[in-house]
Amino acid sequence: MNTALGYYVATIAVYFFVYVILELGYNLQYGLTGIRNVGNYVFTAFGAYIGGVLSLGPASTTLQTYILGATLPYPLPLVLGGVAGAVVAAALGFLFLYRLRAQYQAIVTLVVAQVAWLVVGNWVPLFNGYNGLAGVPQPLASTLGLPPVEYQFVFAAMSGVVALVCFGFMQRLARSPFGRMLRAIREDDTVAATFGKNVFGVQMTALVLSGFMAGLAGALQIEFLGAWSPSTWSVPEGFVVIAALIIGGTGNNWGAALGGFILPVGIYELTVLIPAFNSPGVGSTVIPALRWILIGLLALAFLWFRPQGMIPEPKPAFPPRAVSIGTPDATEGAEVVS
Amino acid sequence: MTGYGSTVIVHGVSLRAEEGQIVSIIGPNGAGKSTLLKAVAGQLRKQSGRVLLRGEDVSTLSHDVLARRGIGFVPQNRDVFPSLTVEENLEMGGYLLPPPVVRERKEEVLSRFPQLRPALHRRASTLSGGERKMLGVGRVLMMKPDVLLLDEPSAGLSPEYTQTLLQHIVQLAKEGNTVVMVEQHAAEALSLADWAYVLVAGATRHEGPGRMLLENEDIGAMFLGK
Amino acid sequence: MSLVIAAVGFGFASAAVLCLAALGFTLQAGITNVVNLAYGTNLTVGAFGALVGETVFHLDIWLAMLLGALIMGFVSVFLNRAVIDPFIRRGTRHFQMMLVTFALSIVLEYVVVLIWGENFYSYTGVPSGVLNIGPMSFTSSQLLIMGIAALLLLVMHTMLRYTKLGKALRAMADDKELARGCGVNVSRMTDITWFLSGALAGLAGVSLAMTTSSFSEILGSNYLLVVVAAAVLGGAGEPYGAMLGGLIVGVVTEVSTVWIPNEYSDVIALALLVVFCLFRPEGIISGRVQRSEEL
Repeated sequence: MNTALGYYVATIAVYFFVYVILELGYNLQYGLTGIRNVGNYVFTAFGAYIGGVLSLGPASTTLQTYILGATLPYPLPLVLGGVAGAVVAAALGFLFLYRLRAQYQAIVTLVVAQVAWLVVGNWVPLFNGYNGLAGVPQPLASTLGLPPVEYQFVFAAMSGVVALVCFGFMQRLARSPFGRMLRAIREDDTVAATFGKNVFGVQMTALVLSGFMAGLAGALQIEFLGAWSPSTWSVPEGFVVIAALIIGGTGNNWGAALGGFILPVGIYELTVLIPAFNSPGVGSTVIPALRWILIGLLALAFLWFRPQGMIPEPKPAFPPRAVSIGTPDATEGAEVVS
Repeated sequence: MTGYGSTVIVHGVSLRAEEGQIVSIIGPNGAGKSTLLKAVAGQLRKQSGRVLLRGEDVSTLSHDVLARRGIGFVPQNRDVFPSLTVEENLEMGGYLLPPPVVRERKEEVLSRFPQLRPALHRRASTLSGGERKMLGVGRVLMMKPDVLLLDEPSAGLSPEYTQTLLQHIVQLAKEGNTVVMVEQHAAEALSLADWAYVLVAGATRHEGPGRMLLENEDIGAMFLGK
Repeated sequence: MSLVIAAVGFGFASAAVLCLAALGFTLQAGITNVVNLAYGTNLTVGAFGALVGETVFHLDIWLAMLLGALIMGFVSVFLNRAVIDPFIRRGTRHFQMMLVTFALSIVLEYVVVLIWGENFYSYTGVPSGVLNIGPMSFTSSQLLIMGIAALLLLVMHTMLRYTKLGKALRAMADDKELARGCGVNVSRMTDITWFLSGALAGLAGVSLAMTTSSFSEILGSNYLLVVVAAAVLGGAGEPYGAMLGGLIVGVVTEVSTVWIPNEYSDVIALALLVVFCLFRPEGIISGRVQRSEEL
C-alpha cells in the first residue's frame, strides 16, 4: 500500500470511529432520552482541550498559553478528556434540564455553546484563544517508535477499540431496565414522574454519560489532528452530529453508527479529501460550500421522507400511549386536554 | 332574520332545531356531545352524514364558510383571541362586515352584555371566566348567525355567572335565534330547552321536550342524582 | 458617567437594528410557533442582497437597502411555502422543527458562501461624518438607520394596532383556527407575515452590515441569538415586546462595554436570554394587564 493511500484509509477509519462514539453519545441523549440539546459539540470541544493540555506539558515550555498543562501518561489524557466532557455536560444539565420548558431547552443549549465559544475564543490564557492549541503530541508515538503510516493504523485500531467498547456499553444500556426508563421519560416525562421516577436524575445520568463519550471523541480528535481551535467546533460541526443521527436512525445504536459513517465519513471527510488529490481549478470555498449545502439538504430530505432514519428504532417493548380508553369518542377527551 | 326555519340534522344521531328554539344536548363525559357539535360546525371532518341548513346540504363546507352562512360556533375553550382587546375581539367577529356595520353590531353586543363595556380596551386574557364567555358569544353574534352552537358554555363558570349566561341564551332564543348547546349542567339545560337529546356512547338514548325529559327516571338516575 | 451616556447612545444605535430584527423574528414566531434558527441567515441574505444592488445595479445605498429587504421578503415567503409550512402541516413539531430550520440555515449560509466566498465585504456608499449630541456621538448612517427604524416601528405599530390587516395578523398569531372561523384568509395572511418578517430581517441585515466595518457570510448567524434574546425578553410572539426587548438588549449590551471588554458584550445579551428562559419565559411585559392600552 502506498503511503498516501495508507494515510487516507487510516484517517477515514479514525474519523469513522470518532463519529461512531459521538453519534452513540448523542443517540443516548436525544434518541433514547429525548433531551433537546443543540450544543453537544461543546462537550467534544472541552474533551479535546483537556485531552490536549494534559498531553502538551506545562504551558511555559510551548509558545502557547493554556491552563493545566501537564504530560500525563497515556491513556490518562484520553480518559480525563471524557471526564471533562462529562463535567461540562453536568453543568449544562443543571442549567437546562431542571426547570425549562421544552422549547426553551434547545435555545439555552445553543446559547451556552455560543457563550463557551466566545469565551474560549477571546480569553487567551484559557486555551490560547482563537489560535487554539497546536503541536499536541501523538500518544505513545515515541514509545512505539513506528513509521508514521503504521502508527496511523495503530491509532485507528485504538480508536476502534474505544468505539467498540462504547457500542457494547450502549447496546447493553439500551436493553437494560435503565434504557427502558429513558424511553419512558422520552415518551412522556410527566407520566414517568407520576410513577415515581426521578426524571431529572435519570436525564442527568444520560446526559453525563453522553458528555463522557463526546469528550472521549474530542480527545481522540485532538490527539489525531495535533491541533484544536474554535474554528474546529463551530455551529455547523455541531449540526453534522445531529444530522447524522437523524439520517442513521434515532433511538438505535446501529442507526447511530451508520449515521456516523454516512454523513461525517461518507460525505464530509470524503469531499474534504478528494479535492486534495485532484488539484482544484475551482475556488477554494466552492467544494466545502457544496458539501455543507448537500449535508443540509440531506438532513431536510430525511426529516421529510424518513424522519425515523435509515435504521429505525426497534418496536417499543410497551404499547404506545393510549389516547383514550373505552370511549368511541377519542377526540373529545383529547381536545379538552389541548 | 330571514323567515325560514333553520334546520340542522346529523345522521346516525339525528338532531333537529327550529328557529327560535333552544336545543340542549346532554350526556355523560365521552358521549360524543362536543364532537357532534364540532362536526356540525365544520371543525371536524365527517365520515358520513349530512348537515342541512334550511334544507340545503352544507355538510362539505368548512368551518369558515359555515360561519359566513350563519352558523356561529362558540368553542368550549379557545373561544376568544387572548392577546387582543375585547373591542378587537368583537371586530374580528365582524371581520367580513363593512366598518359601519361593525360599529353598529358592536353597540348591539355591548348593550346585550354591558359587563364588557368597561373592559373594552383590556386584553381578553385578563377577563374573568364569565366575561370571557360573554365575549366569546358576543364575538359570534357580530355575524348575526341564524344558528348558535355553544359547546359547554357554562364550563368553569361560577353559579351566578352560569345563571346570567343561561338567561342571555333564553333571551337570544326569544329574539328568534336558534341555539344548540352542549351542557354539563343537565338540570338547567333541560329546564330551558325546547327540545333535548340525551347522548350516551355516541347514540341518542332519549329525546323530547326538555321538561318532559327532566321527569324521566332513567335520566334522573344518570345526571340528576335522583 | 459620560462614558455611560456615550454607551447609551451606541446602545440606541444597535437597538435600532435589533428592534427591526426582533420584530421580524417575533412576527413569524407568533404565527408558526417555531423557533426559526434560519432567521440569522435571513439577515445575511438581506445584507448580500443590498450588496448586489450596490455593485451590480449601482444603486444608492438606501435604494440598495430597500432591494435587500425586498429580496429577503420574497425569499422568506418562498422558504415558508417550500419548507417550513409543509413540515408544519405534516405535524412536525418542536425540536424536529427546530432541526428543520437549523438545516435550512446551514443551506442558506453556504449558498451565500458558494456565491460570494468566505470574504469580507463592505458597502461603498455608506455616508461618513459624525454628529455629537452631548457626550453621545453618532455616525450619520447610524442616525439615518435610527430614523428609519423609528419610522418603520411606528408604521408597524399603526398597522398592527389600527388596521384590519394588523388585527387579523395578531388574531392569527393567537389562534389560527379561530381566525379562520372569523373569515380571515389564513394562507394569504401567512404569506404577508413571512414577507414582512423577511423584509424586516433584510433591513436589519443591511443596517447591521452598514454599522460594522465589514461583513461576511456569518454576519447574521452570529447575531441570531442576540435577536432571539430581544424577542424572548419581550415575550415571544409579542410585537411590542420585541421592540421593547430590542431596546433593552441593545442598550444593556452597549452599556456593559463600559465595564467589560467589547468581545464579551454579546455574552451579556446571551446571559439575559438564559435568565429569561429560566425564570420568565413569557417575557417582561406579558401578564401586565394594561399593556395594550399603553401602547
